[in-house]
Amino acid sequence: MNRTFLVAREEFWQTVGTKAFWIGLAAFPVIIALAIAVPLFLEKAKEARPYVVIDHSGFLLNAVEQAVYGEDLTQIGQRGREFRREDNEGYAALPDPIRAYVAAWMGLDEPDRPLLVEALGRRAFGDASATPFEFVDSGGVALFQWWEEADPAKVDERHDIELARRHYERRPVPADLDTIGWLNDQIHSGKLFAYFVIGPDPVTSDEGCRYVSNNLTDRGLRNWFSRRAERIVREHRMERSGVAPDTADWIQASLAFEARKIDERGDVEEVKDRDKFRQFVPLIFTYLLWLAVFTSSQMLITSTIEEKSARIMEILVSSVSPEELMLGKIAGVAGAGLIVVGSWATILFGAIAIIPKVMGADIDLGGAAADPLFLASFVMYFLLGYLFYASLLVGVGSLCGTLKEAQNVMWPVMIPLFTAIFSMKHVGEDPNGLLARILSFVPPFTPFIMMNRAAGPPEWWEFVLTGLLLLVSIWLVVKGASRLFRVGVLAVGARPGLGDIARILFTPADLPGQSVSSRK
Amino acid sequence: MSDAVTLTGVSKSFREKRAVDELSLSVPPASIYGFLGPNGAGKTTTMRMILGIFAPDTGQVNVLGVDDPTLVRERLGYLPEERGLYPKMKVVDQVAYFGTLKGMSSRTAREAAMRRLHEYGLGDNTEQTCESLSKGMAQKAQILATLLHDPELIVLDEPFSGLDPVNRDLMRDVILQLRADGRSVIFSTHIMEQAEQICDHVVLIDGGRKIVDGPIDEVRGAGGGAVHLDYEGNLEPLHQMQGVVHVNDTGRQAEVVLADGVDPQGVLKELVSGGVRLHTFDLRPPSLHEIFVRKVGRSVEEAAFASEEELAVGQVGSSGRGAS
Repeated sequence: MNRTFLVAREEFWQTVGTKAFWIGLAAFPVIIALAIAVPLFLEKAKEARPYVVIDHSGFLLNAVEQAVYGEDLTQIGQRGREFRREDNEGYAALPDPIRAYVAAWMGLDEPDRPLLVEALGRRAFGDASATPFEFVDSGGVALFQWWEEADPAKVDERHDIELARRHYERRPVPADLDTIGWLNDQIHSGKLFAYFVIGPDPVTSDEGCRYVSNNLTDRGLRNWFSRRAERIVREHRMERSGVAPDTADWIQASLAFEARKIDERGDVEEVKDRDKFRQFVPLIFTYLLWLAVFTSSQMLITSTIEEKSARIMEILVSSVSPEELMLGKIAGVAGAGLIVVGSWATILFGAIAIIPKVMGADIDLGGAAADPLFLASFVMYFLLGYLFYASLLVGVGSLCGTLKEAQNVMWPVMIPLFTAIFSMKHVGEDPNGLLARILSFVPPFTPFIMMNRAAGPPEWWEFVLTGLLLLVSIWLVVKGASRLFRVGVLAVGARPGLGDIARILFTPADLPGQSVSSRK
Repeated sequence: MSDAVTLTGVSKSFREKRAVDELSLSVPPASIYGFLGPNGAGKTTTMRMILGIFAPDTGQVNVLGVDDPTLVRERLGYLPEERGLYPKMKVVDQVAYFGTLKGMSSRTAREAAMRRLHEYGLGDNTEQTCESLSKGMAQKAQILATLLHDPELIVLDEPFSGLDPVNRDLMRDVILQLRADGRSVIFSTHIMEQAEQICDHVVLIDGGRKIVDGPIDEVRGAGGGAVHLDYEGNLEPLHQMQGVVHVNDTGRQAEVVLADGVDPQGVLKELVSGGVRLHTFDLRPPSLHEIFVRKVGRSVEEAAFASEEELAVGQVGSSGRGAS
């Protein structure tokens, strides 16, 4: 049997036969699950931030509350419609005032709905003027009462509706004499997250407006409240300068550029969620590719150095040539690497199939990731990238006696590996840009950059040319590495310096594999 | 039958250090051939060239009739001085793996490994991992892994070093059996007494150069006469005696090396008159140790010490393990 194959088979079983390998394999889905679940859980578990507002203007706090009520009502309307559409149980479980409101909301034309919400807000916050919406009179009071009394945690849990209060809970101002002193104490003792002070005339200037908190890193509450207050103040400013409310709305309206893309036939089409994910999938693949190349190369280095320290190398090189040994080891670990990559891909597809369902997003992620272009690129670039880096690392690593030494000499090899990961975001944003194109032709980067560009996708000639360039450089690297390896596997004593490495690389080989008689 | 190994003017250097220098020798078939010399003399480097692990800088290496040893790897067996086993591998798998690397089919190798392990008393340990073996058992496993594929030429680098007494006897029996089976064995040692016991041929090497080689009797016989003593008393007067070249005194035994043509009877007389009590008085050719001292001008131990110092200077970052 071919000796390279024998070495490869042995290396494969040695790598795959360890508990650590399988634990590492099993750990991956756990880590992925935790990475998704922990932030979600923390977000859910986050308690509402208690805050207080002292309003010297007499109107702004009220207006903000009214705006918040309106936002909640809009959300409830949309959510109720979804319930109505998909799942009547969820709709039936809604409290009566909400159901009545949703029914009224759905009975209106699209443009009238915000007007209903506004009318409900006005009525709830003290404007008794007449309104064309019958529901404001019939159900408005009960609705507002429900809104004021509802426990946001329960509403979230039962109906999956997130009221604004879920995150920020406003507490009433106590009628104490020394209000500010009391508030400062509360902040200091951690009972209160923050308090706002609204100046006497925020429309004229922000004089006297303050935000007090001991946690200045979490800017959520401050932004949330000030954005709403700002919008109201702007409206008042427009009104004061004689701009009609319609004009004011028009001025404040944002300018949205709707995203469109051109399909293969040259037609303009809408950008769907799955298109956005299509841009995103190569990034995941690139990162996994990097991880796979990195971990496989590490496995190879470890096993080489273990063989050296277990004093098996000399027995091996008396039976197989160092080239056969090196290539066999590289191939064996590649097999183990493919198992790792395969299991990741499986898990990823599983997750892709499940996550959108769980999160309620209407995206066919699996379709994007199962694109044969992605899959083929992934497997091919894993093998090529691994071959490149593994040869480089095993050549250099074979000169070392211990893992610690190996880590010290491996850093020059690691630099391109890390550069590739740092350029990932930029290349992903501009897959056919100049930087991406140039980097594609630099062999150490080719596998990662080309994978990263898969959403572009690159031209076919780029695949061919960069592939050829990569193959040539792999051939060179394997040649050089086997020279180092031949010397390295039997070397003991002091770790070689860069000078020694250069000398071995550029002096003619004097080891076996060549006919001895030809070298008299 | 042609020689198993022929070296012709073989040299090998590692950077500035000349490990092997113009070495020529022939290993006859079906013989036990000893590479003798201090540590750092070039024994291991020479063996590695015979095995095709290194190629010589100059000169010719002919092994089993072929000029490139890598072509006959499957007919060679090698037990290096630095030897180990994969700690996590099962004993039988380990032995069989080395066999497959020598060209055996997986099945034949496994069957042979099982059979040999049973023969060598490791039948109960075949399924254990190598790391769980005792040191003596591991040594046995290494020996039989070397021989599993029935090599024609067996190269053993310091085979006795580190062995426990039981395995040392086993190793000796194995070497003798190999010769009886018509195979050639090369082994290296820096302990001359071992070579004297079992070698048919020897080569004495120092500093990469050949000092002397040939059949062991010839090598020893060329050194003149010597007397071996078991004694009690004081040998001091012998040192001054006319015709005595050298006295290797180890306390209760001694080797008295005589100049050519000197009558041993004179020595006997001198000893008796000096009140030395003799248990044996044995006329023999001088020991290899004595031959080495006479040719090199220093003992094996001194030579080893000197070459290790040279090595320490010459080998830093050099390619390969250098000369040993």
